[in-house]
Amino acid sequence: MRALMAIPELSRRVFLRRSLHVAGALTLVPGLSIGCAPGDVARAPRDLRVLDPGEWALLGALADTLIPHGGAFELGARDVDLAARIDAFLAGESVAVLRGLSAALLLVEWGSPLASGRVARFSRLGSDDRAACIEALCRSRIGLLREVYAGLKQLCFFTFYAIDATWPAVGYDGPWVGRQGSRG
Amino acid sequence: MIVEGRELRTPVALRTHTLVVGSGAGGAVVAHGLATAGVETVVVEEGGYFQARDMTQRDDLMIPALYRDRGQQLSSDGLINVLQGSCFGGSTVINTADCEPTPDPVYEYWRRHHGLDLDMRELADAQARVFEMLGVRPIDASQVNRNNAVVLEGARKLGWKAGVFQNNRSHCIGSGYCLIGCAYDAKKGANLNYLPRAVEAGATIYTDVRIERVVAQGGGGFRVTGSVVARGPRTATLPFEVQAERVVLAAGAVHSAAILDASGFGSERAALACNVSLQPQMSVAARMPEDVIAWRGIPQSAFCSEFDDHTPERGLGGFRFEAISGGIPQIAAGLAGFGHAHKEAMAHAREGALALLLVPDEPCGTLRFTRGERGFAARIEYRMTDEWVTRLRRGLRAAAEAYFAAGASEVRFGSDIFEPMRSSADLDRALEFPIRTGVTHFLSAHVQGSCRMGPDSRSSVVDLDSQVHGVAGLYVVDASIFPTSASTHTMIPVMTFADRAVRRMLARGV
Repeated sequence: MRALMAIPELSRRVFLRRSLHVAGALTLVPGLSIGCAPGDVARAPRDLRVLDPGEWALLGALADTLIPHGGAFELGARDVDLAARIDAFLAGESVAVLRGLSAALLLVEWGSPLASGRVARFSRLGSDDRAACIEALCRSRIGLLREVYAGLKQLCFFTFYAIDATWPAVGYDGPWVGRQGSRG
Repeated sequence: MIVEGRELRTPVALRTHTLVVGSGAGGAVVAHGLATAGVETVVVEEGGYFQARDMTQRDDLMIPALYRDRGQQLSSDGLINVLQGSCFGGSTVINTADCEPTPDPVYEYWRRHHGLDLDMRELADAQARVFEMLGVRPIDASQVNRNNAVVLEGARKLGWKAGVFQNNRSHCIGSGYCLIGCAYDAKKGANLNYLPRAVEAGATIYTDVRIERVVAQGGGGFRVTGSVVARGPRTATLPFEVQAERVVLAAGAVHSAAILDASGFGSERAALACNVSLQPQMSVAARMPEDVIAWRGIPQSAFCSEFDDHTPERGLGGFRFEAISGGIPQIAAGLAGFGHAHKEAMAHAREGALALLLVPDEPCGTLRFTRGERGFAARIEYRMTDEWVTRLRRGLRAAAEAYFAAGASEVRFGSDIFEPMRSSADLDRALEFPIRTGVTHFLSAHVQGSCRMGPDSRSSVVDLDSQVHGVAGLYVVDASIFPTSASTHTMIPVMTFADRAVRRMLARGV
């Protein structure tokens, strides 16, 4: 069981900056694309603002690996469509930042399996293999891969635990302002 | 008068005696001092104007609104998240409200090694005025929450020195959201005293305005140009121009240097954007046998100072650790690992005790700037010295020892790859703590030093009056002027030097 390890990481934003490092590297590789199963892609919400359906599906798979359903508490990333929430949050970001996000996702799709000794794309792997891919990014000797791991992980966790529905599971009673008869 | 950028419909062209760029700890004090002395004063602030009613207590909304670069400012190697406030009141709105003056050995160090022959009586008077304005007082023992009490307990059991901060709060109800703006006006930042009083005295404050260039005019005075910016993305919407007799840069240790650099003042001032101190901090987290609920109560009230080692030969030295907490999203994002293990740890979040290890550094960073559609972007180059890393590791070991003494069953640091320590038998592993980009997480809340003060223009940017060497009427008054790290918390030192600077300006006659 792990202890808390916190302190203000201001995560999502840090991720966005980090991902820019990735963009430069991957734009040099032509022909790379995200290859999620057509059925997964077809479930993408129609009102996505910055992600394309493939990116939404891949980010969903990644988020599901980071925050699976069940375990210590029921709620997981798929239960709240975390990828769509991240999509909404990123609306209005600069083109450069969004390009960086796309590049980071490509790196997860293609780079993380390679880092873990697998030949398939991340999106086509089972959950255990996906977890091994993420662990490989974290443990990689390549700084860029570790930065992708840190950035995406922090983005997902920060966004997930900013959702009110997650708070009861961690014992947080939410903001005081706006409560009926509250101290605020 | 306070004018928000969104109220402006046409390009702005102003004339004033003094333009103050930035409304944080430095700019607010200067604006107040000048305006109350009858000097025509305009303040511009790139961030927005937020009041207590705007503080939602939600990290996802307030961090992008209140922090510089929406909280994403990083050192170039990605290791250090450099935090600065960027709103009406600057970092005084989002800090922990700790009021720590500059220690005497630091002043002596600056005198001996950086040529700052400072009048200690003048500084003491300035600090006294700052304390009075902020209402600085000790944090009452009843306001020390469990998270902070754990640090005190651990230190006491080991016989180590520890203490409780002074702060600038009044009638705090302990909601715990200090880092994302107080919704109750209990934290007395510059937004609640210096700035409104400056306005009462006649100053005009523009928010959502970014200054990009300062040009000295042939006949004296300055032409200052910039833009009104959209709240949020901070893209330029309208031109903004000011003609001023005097310009005071107080945009923080990154952006004051950026403005000077963009204005061409760097070519003859080799020290500009150099000698940057980040004073990086590392998180230490412990699992306690009981509920701690770190996110409620005053986030930071207790510190362990056993290892402070401030000397006239070195300035700030040693290390210290101070309890702290952020909101649940920040805690989750900083927690090591992922998957079910991460969920399990979050399910026990209430038992987590949190602290920051603060390790004073030598000024060894540099800044380089680019300008884009959203303003200056800083490339912060920073290299940790071997000596600093050694102190960091000793500090991590000490902090863990204190937590185990207080009853912790597990201690972790800000790393995804360092395995948790389960008992005192593990302590020496801290001495091998690895630092690796992406999986080791530092933060800096005290960036200083890019426009250091000194008597020699070859090795410093501003003189002892805070005026840029060789440019009459152009001043820098923020954390960038400190030759080395001024204190473990920088609000009081910045305000003290700002009070001193404004009195010196007035003593010169307008």
